[in-house]
Amino acid sequence: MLKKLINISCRKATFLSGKKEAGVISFGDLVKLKLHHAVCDGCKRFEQQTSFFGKNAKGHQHFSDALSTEKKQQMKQLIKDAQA
Amino acid sequence: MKLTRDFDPDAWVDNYSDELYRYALSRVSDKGFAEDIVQDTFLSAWRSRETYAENASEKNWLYAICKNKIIDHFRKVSGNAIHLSSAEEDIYFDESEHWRANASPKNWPVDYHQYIETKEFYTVLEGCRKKLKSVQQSVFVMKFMEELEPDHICATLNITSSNYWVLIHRCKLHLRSCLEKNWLNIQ
Repeated sequence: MLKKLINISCRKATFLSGKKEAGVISFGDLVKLKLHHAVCDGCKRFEQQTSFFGKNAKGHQHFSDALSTEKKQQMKQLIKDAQA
Repeated sequence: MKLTRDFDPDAWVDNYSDELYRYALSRVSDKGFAEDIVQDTFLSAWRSRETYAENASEKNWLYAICKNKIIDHFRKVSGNAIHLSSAEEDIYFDESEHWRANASPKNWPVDYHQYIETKEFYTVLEGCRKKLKSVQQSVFVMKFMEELEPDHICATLNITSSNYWVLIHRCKLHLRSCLEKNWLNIQ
């Protein structure tokens, strides 16, 4: 009976990891998630790995890309037109 | 209102267009869209130059406008109705909703954190992001790169809160699996 109450599926557990990360998980769900992680390596790894790339995603930059000289010239012209 | 400051739009383009372009490109992943966003940023900046606060740096002001243009872009491409079929998750979970044997997250090398500084990580992550559905890409960028609040993202994309959480879940399922295969080469 108790087992039925606290057992959640991996689908549900990975879904709840997203709410936990955002700080909007209910206390009951947090308990269920922790109990699930105690017995499920896959879901525990899912949470660690996804929080890692979530935290680092914003570091992304295109370091070498640049606008062409023509495009920049065109932008300057468009702003001049807007000034007229 | 008398302007207390001289604006030099040519200098904006010379000084900031490339970095704004790189910023936009890393978020919308399309050169044409990124160019349009930068151009619109300068035009909006020029038109709203009277709202420019003297105490803000010109660069931060342009970035703020650019960020708004990026959000506008996602609003435009988000389309209308979205269909969230749970079948999309069936490649990861079996009938009992537990991991399929081949989809269960593998153990990543203990030192994987140290490789995130590398260009390769971001190249692979972007490649994986591009495989996501358009609305998933939008959610991912707004949440994890622009760090917007869920309410703001839902309003922009015209989605419900429950759809938002489903989309976040799927982004993570797809990206994690894609990184495991293509970045860490774990088969």
